[in-house]
Amino acid sequence: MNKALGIIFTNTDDKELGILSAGRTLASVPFGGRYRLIDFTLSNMANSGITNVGVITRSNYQSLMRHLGSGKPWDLSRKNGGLRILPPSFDKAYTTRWEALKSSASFIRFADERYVVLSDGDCVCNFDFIKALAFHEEHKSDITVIYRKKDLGDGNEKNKLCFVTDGDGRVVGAAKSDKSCGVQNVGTYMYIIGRELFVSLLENDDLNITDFDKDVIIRGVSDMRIFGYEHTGYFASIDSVANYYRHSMELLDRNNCAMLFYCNGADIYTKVRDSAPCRLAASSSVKNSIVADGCVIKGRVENSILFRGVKIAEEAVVKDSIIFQDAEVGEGSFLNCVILDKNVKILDSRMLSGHQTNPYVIGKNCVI
Amino acid sequence: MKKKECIAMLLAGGQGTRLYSLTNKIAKPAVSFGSKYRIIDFTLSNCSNSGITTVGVLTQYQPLILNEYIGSGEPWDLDRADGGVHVLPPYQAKKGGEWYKGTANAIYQNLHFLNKYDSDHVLILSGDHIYKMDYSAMLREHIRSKADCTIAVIDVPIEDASRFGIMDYDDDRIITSFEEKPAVPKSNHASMGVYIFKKKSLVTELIEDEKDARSSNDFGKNIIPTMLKKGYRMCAYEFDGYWKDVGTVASLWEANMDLLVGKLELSDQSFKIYSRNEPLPPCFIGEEGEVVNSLVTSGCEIYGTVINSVLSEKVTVAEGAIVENSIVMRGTIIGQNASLRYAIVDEDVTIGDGATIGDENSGKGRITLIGRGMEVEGGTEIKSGSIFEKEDRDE
Repeated sequence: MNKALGIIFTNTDDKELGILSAGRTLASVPFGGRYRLIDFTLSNMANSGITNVGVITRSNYQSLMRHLGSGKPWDLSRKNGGLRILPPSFDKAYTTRWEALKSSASFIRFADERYVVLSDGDCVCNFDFIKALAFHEEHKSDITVIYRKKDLGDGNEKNKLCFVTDGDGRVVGAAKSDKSCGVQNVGTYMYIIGRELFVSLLENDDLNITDFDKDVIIRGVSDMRIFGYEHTGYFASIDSVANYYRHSMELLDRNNCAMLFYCNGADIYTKVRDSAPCRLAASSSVKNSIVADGCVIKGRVENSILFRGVKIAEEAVVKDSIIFQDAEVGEGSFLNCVILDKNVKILDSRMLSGHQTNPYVIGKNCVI
Repeated sequence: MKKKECIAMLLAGGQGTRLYSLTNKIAKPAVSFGSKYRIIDFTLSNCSNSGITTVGVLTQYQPLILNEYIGSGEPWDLDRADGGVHVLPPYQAKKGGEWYKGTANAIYQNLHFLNKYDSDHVLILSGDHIYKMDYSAMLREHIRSKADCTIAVIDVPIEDASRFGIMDYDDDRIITSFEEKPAVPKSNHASMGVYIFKKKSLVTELIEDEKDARSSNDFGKNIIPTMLKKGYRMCAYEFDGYWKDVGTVASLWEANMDLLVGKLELSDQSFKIYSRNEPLPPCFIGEEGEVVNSLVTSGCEIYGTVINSVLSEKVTVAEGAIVENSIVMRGTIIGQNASLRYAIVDEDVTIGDGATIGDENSGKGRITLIGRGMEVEGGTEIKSGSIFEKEDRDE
């Protein structure tokens, strides 16, 4: 099989998580009790033999770099290739995916892989790029877009790229979702493209490309061989606090968890923290929840996700909430539909409540 | 190569016959402990936390899983450019391999490893104890007292003393007598099996000991008593933290239970116990799940009841099942309405629906043991204190 080069975007302007992405890139937002969003894409690439991976960063990427380190947890600390951080050049920070790619053009040009796999850093899925690459080769595709079937309801979802495919899987129509309703083939922000073709697009200014979706995909439908490859397993892409919350809670459904974490032996890797095991005290009661290592739980927890090192004191009640690494909830406090960021301390007897559609988010290191 | 103050030799060849089926296929140091650890994690983490980064691990009995587990040493931060952790299997001589005759012989056979590094002192450890100890403090004391050998000592209940090497020492902590497993112990100062030697003295004595055909080539039985007799300067180093020998089923069970009452703190950020982590999602507790006074870890899925128990990675407890006062090792599945009391269940076991294992009156003296990979059929009753294992036991 011909090898592919991986490119991951970690900040994108069209996805906004408020306080949760204030001090970090979208890709390093914690997810699922012990992961960061980027772990899924990195693991998928590593599991698919993509061992030369560029991570494009723009701002606030210290936490991302700390998380990635040498790339070892994803087996991406390699003599050849491995993990490469691609920060913006000092004088020119880009704003769009296309500008970001242009500023990393040399990384792509000098690679020797035949294909490039592009992905946003917030694609929560367990995806086999090997199969998608085989599909790409088999169809002699210029670009393969990876999509999933999704019900867009009454057409409230804006700005999603939707595709129409023919019987062979060739994309015959592509448009933004602004007016689309019902079940559509919705893009996942994962693409496969021939590397030489990609470099020629990046370096030819005469093409007036400013936006990958609009100027490459939508414009290219008529004159390029663009094919659609369907991802049928679990997929979430995170673009707002409400949908971060909703997708997090989906993990309490064991079927979603199985699709994400126990998929044909393709494991999802993350940075190891060497926490102690999770300790549930005699006074604890935990129902329908995810609890990570290092937690010490003495109170009541329901329908919630607790990251590593979270402490819940006696008589505290945590319902429908997501609590990030090392946050603490004091005695007798009550939390409902709340997201606590890292190291937040809720003192004793506090009451905090949000709503499922609008969870109450407390920023990093706050004391309440 | 830069000089090293001290390197460590870790004896991990213990057969662990008193752990029965638990050590049937793996060396004792590789046995699961405390939910996410294996016994050897404690000694390796101690080395790492003490700044001792050159460690030879001497294996012998069923080393496969242990070798694989240690790998490059990366989980303990012992994958180093200079030194690091090295697994040392019994040396294969031209005339065929030779098993280690005793603990001292094991080190003797690996003198080539010891001599590869320029170090003044050698720390000798065994891989089957649960404790957190800063060896660098002991090393400082060893150097300060100019001892040829320093032995870590812990006071044990006098009734247990005959299981250990027992010593006496004066007010300056100079050792005056040492007896290995005495029938009538003179004191309760027990050797922890943690020794620091001046390398020069150790090498001399190992070579001498090897010449003696009557010697059983053991540190406790031969090297230490002989050195005392010869007038070497031998010092005791008192340790007053938690320390437990987990050589028996009862003590292994008890040491796990000690974690539930906080006798050994595992969450100290400045002295972490490292282990090789499997890529698994965090523990999930279902709507009907109930977990009380227990340890759980990644990959566990709990739909039943878990009380006073320690569960390792990827253990599933199905609806209606009860796990009480038990230790369940990784990958084991407990079927619906099964009950498990005062039991140790090894890795990758399947307990069928409605099986009954042990009973609530067993206590630690009658722990039921279910061997690695066993399948207990639904509805089976296994009496407390029994051992359920494959018949082709590999001695």
